[in-house]
Amino acid sequence: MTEPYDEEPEGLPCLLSEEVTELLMDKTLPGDVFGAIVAATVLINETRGQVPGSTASARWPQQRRMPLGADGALGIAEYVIAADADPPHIVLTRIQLY
Amino acid sequence: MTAQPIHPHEPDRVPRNAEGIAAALDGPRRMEFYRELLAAAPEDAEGVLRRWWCEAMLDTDPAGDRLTAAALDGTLPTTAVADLVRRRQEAGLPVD
Repeated sequence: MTEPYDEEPEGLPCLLSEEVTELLMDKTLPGDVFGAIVAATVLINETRGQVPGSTASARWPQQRRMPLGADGALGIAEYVIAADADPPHIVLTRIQLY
Repeated sequence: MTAQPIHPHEPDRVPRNAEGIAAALDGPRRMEFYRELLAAAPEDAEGVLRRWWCEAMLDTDPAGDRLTAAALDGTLPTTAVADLVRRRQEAGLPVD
């Protein structure tokens, strides 16, 4: 018999917008920035979008922004939680680097 | 006091100084920015400017609302992270 309350909640897949995909395919993108963005997708997945230190948009409740890199030194990532989609997922929509 | 770019992909829509950042933010967010900047120690002030410059750039991006709306209604084209990593490998780009 399983113990559902002892199980970790399953993550939500984090997909990339075309804008973010284009940035990540940029040959001039520094490796630490690439790594920070991929790490952000893992964190978004594992926390189902509730990343510590992220902030919600007043205009779009499903949209959040999180710092990239240590103390946000690299920039900000914006993502949208499509919780009502089938299947539910999260889209990393935009990256703003310094 | 200015924030310097490390990866300048586009012309600065928002000037990289406190005056330009404040002008680009709407009322409540401008006050939040001012509160953080005025409360920051000198060694932290640059970090505040950098973060809010990014916030202001995202806030003033004309494509922002369209992308969010499309992500919510399922019409935004997307790529899985695993596919992106495979494409980088095929292109000879590092993935570590």
